Amino acid sequence: MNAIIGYSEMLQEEAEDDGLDEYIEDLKRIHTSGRYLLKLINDVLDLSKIEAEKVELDPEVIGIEGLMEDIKATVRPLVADKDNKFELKIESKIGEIYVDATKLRQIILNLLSNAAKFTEAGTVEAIVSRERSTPFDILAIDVRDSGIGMTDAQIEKVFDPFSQADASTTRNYGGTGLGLSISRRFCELMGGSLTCTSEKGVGSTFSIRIPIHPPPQTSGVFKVPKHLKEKYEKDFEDDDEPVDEPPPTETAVLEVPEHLREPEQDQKREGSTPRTVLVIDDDEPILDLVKRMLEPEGYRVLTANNAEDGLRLAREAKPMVITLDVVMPEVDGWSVLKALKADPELADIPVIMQTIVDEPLKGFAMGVADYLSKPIDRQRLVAAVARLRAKADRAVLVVEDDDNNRDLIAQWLKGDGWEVYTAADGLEGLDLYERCRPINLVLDLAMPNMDGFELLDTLRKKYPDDDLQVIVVTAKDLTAADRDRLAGSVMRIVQKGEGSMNEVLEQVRRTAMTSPV
Amino acid sequence: MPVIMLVEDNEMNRDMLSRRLRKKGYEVLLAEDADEASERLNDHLPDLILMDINLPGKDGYEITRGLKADPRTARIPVIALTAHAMVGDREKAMAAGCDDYDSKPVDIKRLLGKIEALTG
Repeated sequence: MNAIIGYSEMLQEEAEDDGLDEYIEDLKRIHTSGRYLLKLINDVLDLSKIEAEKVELDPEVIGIEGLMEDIKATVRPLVADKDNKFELKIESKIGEIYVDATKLRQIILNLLSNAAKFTEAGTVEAIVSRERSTPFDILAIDVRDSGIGMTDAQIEKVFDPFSQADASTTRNYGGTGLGLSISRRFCELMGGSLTCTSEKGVGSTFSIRIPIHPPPQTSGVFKVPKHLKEKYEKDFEDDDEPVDEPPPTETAVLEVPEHLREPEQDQKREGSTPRTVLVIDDDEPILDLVKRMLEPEGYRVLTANNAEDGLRLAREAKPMVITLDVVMPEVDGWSVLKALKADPELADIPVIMQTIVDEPLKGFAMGVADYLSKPIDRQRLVAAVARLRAKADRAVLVVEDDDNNRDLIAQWLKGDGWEVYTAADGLEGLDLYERCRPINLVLDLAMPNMDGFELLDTLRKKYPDDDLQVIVVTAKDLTAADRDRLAGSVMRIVQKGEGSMNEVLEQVRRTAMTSPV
Repeated sequence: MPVIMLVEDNEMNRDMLSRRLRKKGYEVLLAEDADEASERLNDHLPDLILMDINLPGKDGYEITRGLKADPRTARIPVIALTAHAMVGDREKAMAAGCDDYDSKPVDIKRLLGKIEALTG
């Protein structure tokens, strides 16, 4: 494909340069057909990737209004092509949402380009609104056109792969007939739906409905979901910095005041092991400085002034994060990095490189998690470490023998941006735990092979220092003896049944927010 | 004019891209795989490397990680070229240390823009 597209394009350029006008049209046809075939191949690949469940969501916090404006600019020429008018209507303020923006953009662009394709001298509209719903509000985006429309029979088939309204459509309008299938799958992957209503000769409306997940915790500045905001309300009021123009949505954007982060958590999780940061730098004053920057944030800081000590400490302490100076005498930072990455036990520890070179390092070499330039900026350092910590905290192990329940919980958590591992019984759970060491555990009690109680006992015995956040999900009425057995390591018990999924999600979020630094 | 090294195992892709770059005035060094790339790098350090990802033996990510870990080559910008732009390829390329990323078949204007941005 590359060769067909590339050489035909080159020939076209050369034909233009040499004045061989009679060849240009034909070469253009080869080029256009090549592009079409490539699009078809890519769409088929996308679809089979979805079928094979190889597609993952990559949610981020975005402003939907900004996204829509951006899309509007992209589709304007496309819509104007057939004398259509494009209107973007944002009917209720949506504000920031937590969603896979790349996929959402792809879906909306697909719907709009379809609408533009099948409409002439008419209107294409995108209507955005927020629908009230529980547990989450719904983001509703309707793409409406005044185009050729479809019959009921055509509507039925419109989302099937490879089927456009009818065979002549492809001839007249082009396209691969896969865009809508892909868009629908993406919507479903996000926990939503894509539907269509249409009337022959009047127009069509495609409706995206996606639940609005509140953004999870990130480092430093994070969005506080309403249910958590109430918990911290007092602290927010005490904050003398007024929050400017809070978006009129469910979430408020707030810089979390330092006093709120530390003492609150320390009281809650007294006696728990703090997260360790290993600092490797040949410059003693720098070691001291970094220590003084990170310790008030609640981290345990280990220091090494040479490569050898650094590697030894890394092996002994298995720190959460390593910060590494690039320029060191004898063995430099890159060599230490190489040694770290070559050791299977240490390879997964995120490394922040620190160097005096002020030019931003191009790219992140060899699995470097972050990069900071010297002189060390306290805020940037703290934010970088906190970000890596948040990432480590986002792993959840779900141990549940019921396939449906397990899939459901996993899907909910994935949709919320968690890194989810699943196991069907205690033994499998133990094995997975040893490999991934997640912080959060969602645990069923009654299971074959090894039940939830046994798994917890084993984990506590084997890893007494691990700070696990356990949420038990059970259909069982727990006896006092059961509760005793769980006490100490279980953060929360959720009864299976109506609404339990919400509670699990909320609890996972909550334990993550109150987990120790 | 800057010197560009193209690491690409597919002969036609190599031919096309090198011809088009030379036409724009760049000097182009060619390598088919990791071994050839390191051989070329011994003689001459280019101003930029275009790195195909799907290579026999060591893939482009691996080669890039090696380049970025070597102080002699760490500063040479690398643009990764992947076949089908899938979500996540960009992240993978960046994680491997690449400075930019583009998908094949290349849009020559866009690629030239990226080359200029990194060599200019």
